[in-house]
Amino acid sequence: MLKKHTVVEKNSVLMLIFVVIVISIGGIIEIVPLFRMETTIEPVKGVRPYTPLELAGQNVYIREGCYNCHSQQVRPLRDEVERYGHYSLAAESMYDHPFQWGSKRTGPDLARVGGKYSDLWHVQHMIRPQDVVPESIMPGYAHLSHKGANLEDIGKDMTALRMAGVPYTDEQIANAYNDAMAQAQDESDHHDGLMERYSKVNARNFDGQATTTEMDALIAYLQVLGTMAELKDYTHDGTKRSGQ
Amino acid sequence: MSDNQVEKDAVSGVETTGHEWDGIKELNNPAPRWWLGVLLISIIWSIGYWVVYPAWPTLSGDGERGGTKGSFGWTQYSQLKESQAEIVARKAAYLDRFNAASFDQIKTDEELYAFAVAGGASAFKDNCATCHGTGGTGSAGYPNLLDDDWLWGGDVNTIHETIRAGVRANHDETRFSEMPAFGEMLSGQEISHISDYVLSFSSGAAYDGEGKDLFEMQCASCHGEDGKGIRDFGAPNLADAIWFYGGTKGDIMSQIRQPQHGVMPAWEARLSESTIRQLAIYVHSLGGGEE
Amino acid sequence: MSDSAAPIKFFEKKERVFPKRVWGKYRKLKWAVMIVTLAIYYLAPFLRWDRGPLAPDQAILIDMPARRAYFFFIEIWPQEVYYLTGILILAAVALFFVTSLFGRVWCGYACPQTVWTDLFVWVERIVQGDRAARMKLKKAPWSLGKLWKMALTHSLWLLIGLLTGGAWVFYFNDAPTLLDEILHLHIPTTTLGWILALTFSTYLMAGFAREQVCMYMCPYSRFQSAMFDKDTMIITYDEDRGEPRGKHKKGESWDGRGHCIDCTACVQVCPMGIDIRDGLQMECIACGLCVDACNNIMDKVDLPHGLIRYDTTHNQEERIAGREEKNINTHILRPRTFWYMAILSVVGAVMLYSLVNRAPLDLHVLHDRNPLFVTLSDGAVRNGYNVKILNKAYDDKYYRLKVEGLDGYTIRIQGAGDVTPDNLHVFADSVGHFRAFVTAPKQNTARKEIRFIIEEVGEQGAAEMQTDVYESHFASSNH
Repeated sequence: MLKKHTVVEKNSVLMLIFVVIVISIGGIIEIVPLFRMETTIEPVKGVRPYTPLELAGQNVYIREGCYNCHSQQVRPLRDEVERYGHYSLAAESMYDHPFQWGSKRTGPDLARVGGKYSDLWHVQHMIRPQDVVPESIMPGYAHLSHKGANLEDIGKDMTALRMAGVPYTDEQIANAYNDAMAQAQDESDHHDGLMERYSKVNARNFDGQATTTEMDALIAYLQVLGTMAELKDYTHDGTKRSGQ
Repeated sequence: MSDNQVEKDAVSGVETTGHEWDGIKELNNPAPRWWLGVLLISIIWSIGYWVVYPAWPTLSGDGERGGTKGSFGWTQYSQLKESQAEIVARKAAYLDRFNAASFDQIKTDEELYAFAVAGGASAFKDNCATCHGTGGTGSAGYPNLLDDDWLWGGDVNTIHETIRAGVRANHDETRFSEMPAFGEMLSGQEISHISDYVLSFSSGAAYDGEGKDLFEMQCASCHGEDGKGIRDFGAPNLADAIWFYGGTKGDIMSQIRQPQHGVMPAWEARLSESTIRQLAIYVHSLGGGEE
Repeated sequence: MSDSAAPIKFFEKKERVFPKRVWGKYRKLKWAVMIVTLAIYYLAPFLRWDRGPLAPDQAILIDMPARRAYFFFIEIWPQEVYYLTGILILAAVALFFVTSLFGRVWCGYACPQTVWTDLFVWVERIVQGDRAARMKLKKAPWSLGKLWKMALTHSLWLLIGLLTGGAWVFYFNDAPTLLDEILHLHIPTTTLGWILALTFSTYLMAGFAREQVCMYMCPYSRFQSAMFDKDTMIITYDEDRGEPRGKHKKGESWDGRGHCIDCTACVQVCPMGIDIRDGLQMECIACGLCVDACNNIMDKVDLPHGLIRYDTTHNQEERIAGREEKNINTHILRPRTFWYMAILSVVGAVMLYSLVNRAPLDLHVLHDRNPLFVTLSDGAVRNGYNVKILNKAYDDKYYRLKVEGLDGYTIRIQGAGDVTPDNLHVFADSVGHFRAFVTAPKQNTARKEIRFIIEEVGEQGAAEMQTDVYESHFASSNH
């Protein structure tokens, strides 16, 4: 066998053929499932694309590197389900580009953090986490309160995401700025339009300040995490495809 | 190097590969037999693995998320279900009895009480500790659950009700109180007088000033003439050593001028009734519980 | 580059040792020790010791699920595992002591590795014959006869291994019950695992590894050399008398030659496969089989015993120098042995004292750390403590908890039912856990050292009193 191997080692063409074969096997195993992606997404009702304000919040989330310490994926393990709630479904992150599953938890998982804490708590926690959780090692993000959210060109983000497969409508993109501003206010003339274009929207002044800051955007994003999917109707095996 | 000129190592008698680094030549030893054996066994093992576990994507889209199912029928979801069933079975020994028993009965049953406190403790760490602290001591604006000062009452039924419906929460039966912002009604001087008078309750110092009348007119309807608060309104006791939003004069003035109002979520929708009852018993057991 | 040179072996091939059968004083002693030690090992778990209805009646038992260890009158709780340290220290010092006096007699006679190896060699000899026959059989090509002999040997080895592993588990379970279970093949999985693990380790260690264990694995065999001095009894070859060695024909004169007839009997019987005539070697386990072998030969050639014998280096030197041999007894007490004895006595006495005076009651108090204290509405301060009362007696007890060093305090016990600090109930032979809240009026100091005291409450009031104290502190605030 050893002798035969020298044949391969000394014949570059033969070597090349074998190398190509070996690499193709690995490549095929990685690539083929991507063509069947839709079969991996569970049918569940309620998941919608992010509103413009939430999308701005996600941009802040990514910019500040939150994913370095927080994952957004409740794994189907008993202790995680006990702690965070229903395990995450692929459908819940199908409009995330890039997805925020993460691979490391210095802080807790955030996949189902939406609605768990009050807006005021989030504001205090962002400004100085140790005020509410003394043992926390999370850094403060007070600067988010001072900086206006970047909403002027959020419509362009949405256009880009549409190219990646997120089903934003022309109407949603056209009204992006108004929708974003409306969502961060307790009362607004644009609320009706916002509610019409997106289901189950939290529209309120998230950070208590008059201006729409990055804090508003981030909290709007955090408060919607894990709340969209109608998990009460979801069963893993029973309702296969009936949701579509 | 051609075949008929293979160099052999003098010491071991093994052929070299012809590679040399700093005078050290690489011997052309085959991979150790045991190593090769392990590799082959792993390959054979993997074939068995394909058969019994979900492994290959299929084109038909049938099967587990469009892949082979494997003869064991294993999925991580069924594994989760099994491990959850295990816990349910372990809890079942107590849970039925716990759910059927009243708070009074639980208080006399050592086993159920220990079960409730243990279950409450873990639910507390997950859901409550974020605001009330892991030890239950709270912080400014988030009440300490260990002391004997309660805004809404500290017996186990009242605690249960507070957890269930929350405070200023999105719930029909939520507890609600709102102190008016006196900054719009009173002058800074008047607020200062009231603050002095409020401080005299706990310090015990004699007070003889305008603050007394102002307090009785503006504040006593909720906080009581003696400043001891009225729990029905969630109006805190101002005459004790415990302060919710800080006990300096500045803190008090600021709270009178523009009061802060905390929100506690209603847990009825998020937690099971059983868990809420366990939490109530746990919080009651922390030291401040009233009869 | 020369092909003629034999390639270097990176690992020396192990030469199998085939010890020859031998008769004599030390062989008899070795048989006796083997019988006694094996008997203790196999029978000890079946000894009974009455401890009343609440505790197991097995004399020697390590009860893992209940977290208790029993040794006759001694009962050890997990937190008293330091007794194990004491036993290990005693065992180590005793080994040093014996080694400094008599060399590696532990290795030669009593070590389990030696005992089981000896047993396995005995089986090997019964089935395959003595040294020469065994060596021949090993070289012989495979035949039905060889297969049968080999299979029988290994089956017997495995059977002994099984009995060894089987006996081990009795120390961790009620032996008669477990024996019954094993005979009916209802063996708990864990137990089965241990039995199998010990079966195979016995089979490997005593069947194959043998002297390799002593040479390469055992640390004791290496550091025992450090206990040797000139007055330690070791196996010696009397070079002065034996050399020059050579073959001897009956009737030849012994003049001008040594008494060693180079018969290699001492080498053939050695379980370690060494030649003692090369002097003291690190492999020698002082079993004395070569002494027996040589003495038997000396009988045949009508020479006195003792060409190979237990002796001290000191004696040898004296003899070579032509001086009178010293009486060995005078060298037993020397600084080294004295100190070993002293350590042995002190450790033994301390352990005996603490065992005899072992309190049937213990108290542990842990102050809450989160929070350290709670300020109450009237300014009073409340601390939380976790109190553990260890009742090691065999009946239920009631205790009263008190605090010393704190004025005007009150204690409240948090728990189900009407528990008060005056009636803390702890079941027999178990630990009672209590949450205690100690409240004291407004404090002027941030920290106060306090002592918790428990008293046993007797049936007629506080008739018999036993107290145990535990120090903690009372935190208030950062004044």
